[in-house]
Amino acid sequence: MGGIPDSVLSQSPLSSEPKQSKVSHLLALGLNGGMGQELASRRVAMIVEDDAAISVVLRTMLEDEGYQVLCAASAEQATVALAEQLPEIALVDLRLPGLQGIDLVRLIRQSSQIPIVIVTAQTDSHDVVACLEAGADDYITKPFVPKEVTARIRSILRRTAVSRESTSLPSSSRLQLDARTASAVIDGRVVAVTPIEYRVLEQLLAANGAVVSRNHLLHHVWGYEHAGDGRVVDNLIYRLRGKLQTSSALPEVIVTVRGFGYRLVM
Amino acid sequence: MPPDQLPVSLLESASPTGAMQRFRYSGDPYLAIAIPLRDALYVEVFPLVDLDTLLVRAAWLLLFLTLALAAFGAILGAQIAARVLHPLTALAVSARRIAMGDFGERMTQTGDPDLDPIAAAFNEMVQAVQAKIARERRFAANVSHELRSPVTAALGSAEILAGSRNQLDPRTREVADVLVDQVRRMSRALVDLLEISSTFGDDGAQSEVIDVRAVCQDVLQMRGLDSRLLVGPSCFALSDARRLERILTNLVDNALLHAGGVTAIRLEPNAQCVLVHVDDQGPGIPDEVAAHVFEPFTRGPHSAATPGSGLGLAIASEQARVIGAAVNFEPLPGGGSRFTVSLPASDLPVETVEE
Repeated sequence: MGGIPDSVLSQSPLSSEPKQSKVSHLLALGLNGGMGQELASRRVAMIVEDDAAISVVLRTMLEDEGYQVLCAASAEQATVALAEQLPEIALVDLRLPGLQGIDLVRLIRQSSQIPIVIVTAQTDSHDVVACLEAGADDYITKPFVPKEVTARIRSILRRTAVSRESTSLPSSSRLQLDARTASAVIDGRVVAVTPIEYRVLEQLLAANGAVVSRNHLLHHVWGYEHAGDGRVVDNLIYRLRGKLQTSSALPEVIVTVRGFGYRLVM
Repeated sequence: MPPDQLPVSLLESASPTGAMQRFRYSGDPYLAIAIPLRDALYVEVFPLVDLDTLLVRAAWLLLFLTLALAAFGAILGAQIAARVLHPLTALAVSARRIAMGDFGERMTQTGDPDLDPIAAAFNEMVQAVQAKIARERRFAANVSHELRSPVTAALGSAEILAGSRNQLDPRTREVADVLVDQVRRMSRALVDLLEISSTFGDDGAQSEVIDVRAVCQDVLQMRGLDSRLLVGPSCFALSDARRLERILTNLVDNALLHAGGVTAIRLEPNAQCVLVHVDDQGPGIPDEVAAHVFEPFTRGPHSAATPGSGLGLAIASEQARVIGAAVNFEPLPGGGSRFTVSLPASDLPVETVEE
């Protein structure tokens, strides 16, 4: 393992509490900075949940799906575990003792693009949006139906869209997708994206400039069988724009079509 | 006037002191005074017409003035009474508004020493009632919140158990099935309760062009109903797909629970709005329930034993309010009920990715 890239450590947005900087230090050690996707262990999932009973349920569900499950009862425990092994997907409860779920999401996002699903209570509406903006890809509310959850996780983890190779996608003047590294290239610059972000871009490219509705994305990318929460899509687009926008001088590459959805400027 | 027209009684009663009498001659009143002289009677006659007319006029004037004064007095009295009663009328109006559920009402102090204590006491009472209701709502919300985690764990465990039911011996399987069913039911009731206890509207309704037909199809599919029950053309509305799905699901569940099933979901688009009718052939809704059917925990007369949470229609109605739609019902001519959701139509064509 080489030296810790200075850029990773100095980017920590958290407060200067010694505990937290130690934690991000640990994370950086394990993840080698930058894109961690190729390091993610296949078939390993992580659960960060302090309620023991719910933890058992989630763990059993994921084990039934063929995952080896790492269980952490707090964000601090999670970061210790993450330093050793990067899971394929993380389920994080919003409310944790000590460091909160949203902080853990931010921490993970500092150095990795693994899909993150937050587990929330119904009343945490504003917190859900904040978490989605911070980098979570989807959320499930308690009480959840296990079948729904596993269907969504399966969908989230499907790496590529069902019947398309990325080479058969229409080309855009500014945006290309690299299937091998599962990353996006905008104006020549490589950008790390989460699997969900990648697949959203795939869908937008496949539409060749036509509008893609939120519901279509929820169905094809997130795997919602029935109508889902459009905000999940909105927040992801918001994050994508943040990643893709190099300077305010260049126009946006994703356009919002009010009342219909989103489209790509080809 | 000839002497023979003088009243006889006058002439007769003209005693040594004299007499006077009022009499009529040719329709006019006169006064005659008779003074006996030594061997004759001196009678002087005065016409009273003018005096009489004066008296009659005076009488009329007096009558008129009395009436006018009485009327004036009545008006003045009414004014004063109204001014005194106005705060009390205002009080009655405020009380009525509060009974309808508007707790923002307060009475203003007018400076009147008699009425201000009433206003103050009234405001105090409203405050107390409001606080009590808020406490009870918080209690319901807290209880629901407390139940959330245990129910989540129980539901998850039940579903996992349900997946392995074939591995159980028949007796255990039967019990396990009961457990799973009841946990599912409890969970649905809790979700409903949580939904209705939370403050609506803070989530913000989405507004996008949605394919209403597709949403209806999803709802039928989710409940395992025949998709041929959906009748009507393809139509689009400007609304929130997730909430619309919730509303329609609740209406369908209501029909399944209380009316023996759904006979049809009909789509009726017109220029301004899209109407979605959920029809059933059930016993209909009795009048005494009809006014309250969208309120929480209203149940029909025979539904005490049915597994619904009693909140489905209340949630449907509330979610409709959030998205600016309306839910109504009407009896169907051949029996049964029709619940209708009306959505604002979207006349813009939808561009979507081809499947």
